[in-house]
Amino acid sequence: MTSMSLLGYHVRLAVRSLRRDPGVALVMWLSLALGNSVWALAAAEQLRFDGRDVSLSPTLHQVEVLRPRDANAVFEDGAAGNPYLAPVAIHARTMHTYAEGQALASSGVPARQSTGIRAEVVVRGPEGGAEARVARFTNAAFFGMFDRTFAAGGPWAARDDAGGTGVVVLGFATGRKLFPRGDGVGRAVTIEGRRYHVVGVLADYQPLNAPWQLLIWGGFEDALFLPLGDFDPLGAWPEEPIYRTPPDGLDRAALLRSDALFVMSWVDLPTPAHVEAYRSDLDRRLGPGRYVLRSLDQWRRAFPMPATQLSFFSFLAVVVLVGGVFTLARFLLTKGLTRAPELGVYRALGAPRAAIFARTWVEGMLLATPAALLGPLFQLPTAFAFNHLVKFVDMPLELSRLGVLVGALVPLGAAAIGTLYPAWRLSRTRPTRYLGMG
Amino acid sequence: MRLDVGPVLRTLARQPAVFTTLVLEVAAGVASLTALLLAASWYGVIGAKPTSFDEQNLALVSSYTPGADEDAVAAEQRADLARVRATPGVEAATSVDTSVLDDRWTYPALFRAPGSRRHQIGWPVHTDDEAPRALRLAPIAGVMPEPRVGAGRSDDSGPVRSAVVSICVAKALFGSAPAAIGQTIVSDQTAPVRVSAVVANVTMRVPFMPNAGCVAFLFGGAPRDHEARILARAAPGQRDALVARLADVFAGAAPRRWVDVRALDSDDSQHHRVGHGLATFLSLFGALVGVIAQLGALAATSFLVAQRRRQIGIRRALGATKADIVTYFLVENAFTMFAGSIVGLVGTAGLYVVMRSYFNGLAVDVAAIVLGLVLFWIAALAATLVPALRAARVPPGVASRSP
Repeated sequence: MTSMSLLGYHVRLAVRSLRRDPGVALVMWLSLALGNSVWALAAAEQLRFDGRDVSLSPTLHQVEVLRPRDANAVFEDGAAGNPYLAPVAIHARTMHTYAEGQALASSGVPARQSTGIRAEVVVRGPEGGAEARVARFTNAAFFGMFDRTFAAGGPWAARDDAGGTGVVVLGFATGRKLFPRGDGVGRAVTIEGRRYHVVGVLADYQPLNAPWQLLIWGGFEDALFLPLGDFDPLGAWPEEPIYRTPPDGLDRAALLRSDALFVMSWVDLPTPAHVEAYRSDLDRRLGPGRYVLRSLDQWRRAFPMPATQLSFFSFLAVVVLVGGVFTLARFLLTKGLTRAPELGVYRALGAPRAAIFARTWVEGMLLATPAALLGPLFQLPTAFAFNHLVKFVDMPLELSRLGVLVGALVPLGAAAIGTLYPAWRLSRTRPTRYLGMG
Repeated sequence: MRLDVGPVLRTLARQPAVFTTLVLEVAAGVASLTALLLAASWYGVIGAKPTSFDEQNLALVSSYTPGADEDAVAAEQRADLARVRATPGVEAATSVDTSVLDDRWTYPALFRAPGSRRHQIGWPVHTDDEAPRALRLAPIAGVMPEPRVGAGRSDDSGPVRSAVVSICVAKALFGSAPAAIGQTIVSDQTAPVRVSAVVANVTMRVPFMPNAGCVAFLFGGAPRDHEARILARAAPGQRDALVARLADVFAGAAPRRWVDVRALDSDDSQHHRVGHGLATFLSLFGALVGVIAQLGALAATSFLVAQRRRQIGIRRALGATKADIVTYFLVENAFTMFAGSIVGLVGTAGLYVVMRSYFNGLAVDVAAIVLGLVLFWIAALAATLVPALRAARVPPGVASRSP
């Protein structure tokens, strides 16, 4: 018997076993699928929180400017134990001053570079009143570097980066709100009292914790995008600067020349030659040993998301998953032990232990597989409830490919392991057990 | 009806592996359900945490004024404050750079006493001399700043003049409220400033944050910004009328501006909605976990009943009543539930220790734990009762049939 036909044989036996108690099997499927939905929701939320649902080019790089320890070091020192302080520590190390941002943006290395500053602006669509929204002032390269896809239109031209040309890209939610019919491209909106033409509308929400903007305290996505060159003419006030020392004045000019951190800079260095050239440029601008240049992977390892309440709920979802494995194991054990005499007959008729083991294991997997596949599907109503009851950010939790995979494969793996014990236990049934029949 | 536990114990002893996995399954359910309810209770309490302000008669005017000319923006904001103060029914109005309704993220400040290694994480609030009247801040120690009369009254465009800190900042930096008076504090966000008074802890940021009640009210100039907020105090019972009047006042604001007038009610805040939303969601999730656990129990008990038909028939033939059969299954279930609950509560205790590092100020909510256990037991009873009642209907004649 080939291994495939042997597998088919065990599957047929397992299916027959399940069909003997179809109601019970159905309840088990439902129970396991609901349990998997709990896991799938927690996994999806954890993945987007960790920024793992974002697939970006590994050639992206970021510069940390090394600074003397200042008052903010206390956030870093305490970050390991406090989820609320870790973001300060991460931002304090990854963001730049206005002057540094400008210096990095003007690097002569031929590579895609993105400089971003978040600031609130007042937007007015063709209909409706003015609304204060968060804008990202950045350059055209940003959209390509971070793989932002467009529902309509596209990014502005590189020559628009200098500002003054009145172009804007709308985020997904803003585009939908201001132009519900999806006809925003080419139309005008008023921003800070000035007329802007919409050149593009993004196709989806921003990832929750994208490298270009960590929002781990909750917050708003980039509602719209404006050329970096418009930051000064509009007099935009940067969102939440991290102060290192109080500025020597209360006005915007004092803030821009201060050592406050509010600029996020990234650069795409596709080859080792680009990396070397960029390092040489940084040595010249910042001085050797005064910075750390990290690739995206190095950056993620250096600045992991802190453990938060979500981490606890993810752990709890693991407990639920383990509980589901116990349920499955107990069910198989109960079933097998009450049918021990029947198994004894099989054994007496010459069935090897491996056959009983395989049949039980396959039966467990037949219960676990549909439940694992249904789990992410059952997650939809719980995600809907989560998005409506717990709107802590304006980016809803949605099913992602990775989320579905993790939501389905991990329970399947857990079931495969959890079924080993009942399969082993039942395979030990002695042939003489058939004597106990009746 | 006889309560004979002997057969039940023998059955459980015959199948120790089944009994152990069932106990672990119940334990996982109890532990996760009680932990979820503890977390739900924490979110409910935090979401409803009072700000400690006398909120009932406060209105909030938020505005955003665009423009690259900072002086013009500041002048427009000062004019707003003057218009609010001149509105009939306003007892006092103060400008603040943040409010409890704020739903955006922000960084805390690190307050320090110069020359000392002590520090306290907290939240600075830039405001003006009307704040004590508008917010009803009462000093525990020291003297509150008096509103200045004349042209300088509301401008506050100069440097920060003095600070009023909440008691947690005073205690952390100086040991006590009286000791803080006259001392200087400094932070990464503000220049050195002398403490003139200490007040009770008040919440100006989302209460989920640690040290949410640790606040320093800074009197004097605030960093210029396009955003501005004014808190206005109405005469008792007149808040709704005042909100309507203020809405009229700002109805004609320049179309390029954004102005929002509302009652300052922390029940209407983002943190309140998130707190209650999470409490509801986690409770629903807890119920779901309970249902999942009991569905598993239902499946296994149904199977046991189906497989034990002949055994049940023999018991019935030997004189056991229907009630005896139901009791047998309920007692069997109660044994495993009891053992599972004990192990589960040990698990809850472990989870509680872990939770304390994530949930600031988490308390042991006995009511939530008892509720979780009671619900779990009721559900388990229901899950067992259905197949047990089916078992009770097995006729004694089944005993004589061949298997």
